[in-house]
Amino acid sequence: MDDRPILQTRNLSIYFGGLAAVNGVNLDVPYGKTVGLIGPNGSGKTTFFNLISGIYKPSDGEIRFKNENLTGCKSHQITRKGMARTFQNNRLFWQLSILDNVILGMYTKQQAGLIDVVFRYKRVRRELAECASRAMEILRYFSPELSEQPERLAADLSQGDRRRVEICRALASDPALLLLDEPSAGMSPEETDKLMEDIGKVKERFRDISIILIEHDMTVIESIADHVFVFNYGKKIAEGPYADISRNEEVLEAYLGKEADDA
Amino acid sequence: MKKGPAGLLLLLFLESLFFALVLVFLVVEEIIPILAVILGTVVLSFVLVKYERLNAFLQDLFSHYRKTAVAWGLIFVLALPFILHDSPYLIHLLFLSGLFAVLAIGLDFQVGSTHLVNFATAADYGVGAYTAALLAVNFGWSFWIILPLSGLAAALFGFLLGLPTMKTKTYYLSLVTIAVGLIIYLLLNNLSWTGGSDGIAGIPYPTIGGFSLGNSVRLFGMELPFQANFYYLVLGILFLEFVVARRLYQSKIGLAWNAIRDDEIAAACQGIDVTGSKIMAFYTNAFFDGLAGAIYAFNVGFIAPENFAFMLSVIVVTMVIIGGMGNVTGVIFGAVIMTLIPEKFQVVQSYRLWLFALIIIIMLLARPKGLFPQKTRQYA
Repeated sequence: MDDRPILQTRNLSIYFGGLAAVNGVNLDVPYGKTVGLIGPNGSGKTTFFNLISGIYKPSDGEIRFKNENLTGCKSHQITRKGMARTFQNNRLFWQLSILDNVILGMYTKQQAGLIDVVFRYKRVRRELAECASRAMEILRYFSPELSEQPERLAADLSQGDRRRVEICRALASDPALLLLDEPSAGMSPEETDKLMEDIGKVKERFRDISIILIEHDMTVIESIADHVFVFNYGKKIAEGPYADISRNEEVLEAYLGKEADDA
Repeated sequence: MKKGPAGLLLLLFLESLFFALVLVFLVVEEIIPILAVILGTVVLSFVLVKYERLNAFLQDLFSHYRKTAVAWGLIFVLALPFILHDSPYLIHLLFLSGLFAVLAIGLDFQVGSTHLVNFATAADYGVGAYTAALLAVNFGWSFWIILPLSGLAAALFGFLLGLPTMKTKTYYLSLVTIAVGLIIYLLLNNLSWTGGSDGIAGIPYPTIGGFSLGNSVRLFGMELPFQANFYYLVLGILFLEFVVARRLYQSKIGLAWNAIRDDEIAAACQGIDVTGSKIMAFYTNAFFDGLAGAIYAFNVGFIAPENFAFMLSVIVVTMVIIGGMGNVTGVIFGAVIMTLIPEKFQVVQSYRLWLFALIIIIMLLARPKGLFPQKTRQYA
């Protein structure tokens, strides 16, 4: 495998008005590893995700993915390069079934276009059927219960199941890099345990996959992340293994505040 | 009980009953029976919503004998001109229903599948009709060459309309389409080469191998008025569009449209080119509008800007909403109902818009997903 990082950002920045939401971030995500991204609310973690997944255009800096400069590319182009993500507040296609949602994750794998739909529909059907069976396989792997009711609408699912479907949808595109934006948000402790199990399953099945995980729950970070980046006020203030980070003074300060500054 | 001859008979009986109702509705002209039929339909639809088991039973029955049910329906639709051969006007109404169904299914690609509430149907339709009229009158080309060309011209127009519209979303997008519709209407009124407000006259009837569609046909010892020819023509186009619409729905394109409708950002993150897909919804819709426009021009022989005014776009939007966004069959029903009801209420012509508004408000309150909501896709 390549020694070079799968994702590199250099001086990555975005300004909203005068505010630097992400400010000069240099960050390397190694191949095949799971890295954690932590920091207080509003420290720019999700904005960072939105930058690398193409939802925002960076004001400055560079994004390299698999050694290719993707700065300024649009979301759908970046997805095609092999990056997939989930969202902080689940963004499923609510009026579509579980199965439709996961099949949409394979959108880039389907070749058939308008001409095929009109004139060579057999091809389209075959392709869709293949996608459907693969989607069912992924669903079954993560949740046999969900795979038994693939026609349920996404809107009718519980929080935990929504997150699970979203992860299945992201994995359906066979991504090289998976971005998980605070997957445990709004989950009960039991659901969080289940989630950690699921992430473990992801790594077991998709062995080469790299993951960036935004998380507030430090037990999740501790047990899953090989490496941790800490953000504060849009800047990366520290990085290293969790054990080091959890003793880093600057990090503790960011989370708990300095006593002298309490005012 | 439902998977035997009894079930089959029940199905055919129910379907025939429905057809009989449709016929009564078509033929009767007194206001009281018409109101009764409408009221009965409304009550029935509420009963079906309320008693889910009855609804499920009927759906089960229908899907079990799907082929038979569809075949029986087709026979009825094909036989209609024979049943009504004494009243060319009714056949003309059915032709118009079909034409509006073509427009409504096309618009559903946008309104239903993608939630692009486009109010420029009349513009697409007008571009198709004027393309057809100009080519026919100035060059004398055959209808069968002009028909696809009109579709393509409208598709090109739809594509061009899509480009600037992409800068906007939701209500603003609708506003842009309204504006474009008005611009086209004003242009048609003021350009000299489109005949200005006088329009274009003298479009000949289409011919097939020397036979003009403007002539009546003797079939099975019955004299079919020439309106029947156009009825069958529009049925043909409607059938083609129906097949294309069903295929689009069950393809990555239809999935992408639905994904964009539910969440644009998430759609883009699945690799969907949101702008490209939306524009595709614009031009596929416009293509069919163009075909409908050409057929209309050749049917009436005379077109003027008034035929392509804003109201037409509004009516087609209501057809989609009432029929059921994202359900092709439902949209056809919506188109037929909304074409026939105003015709049946000629007496109250001046209150037509009130009636439309009332129907829409009731629908949005009682059944926001339309008479026939979108179905879950089946992969098997």
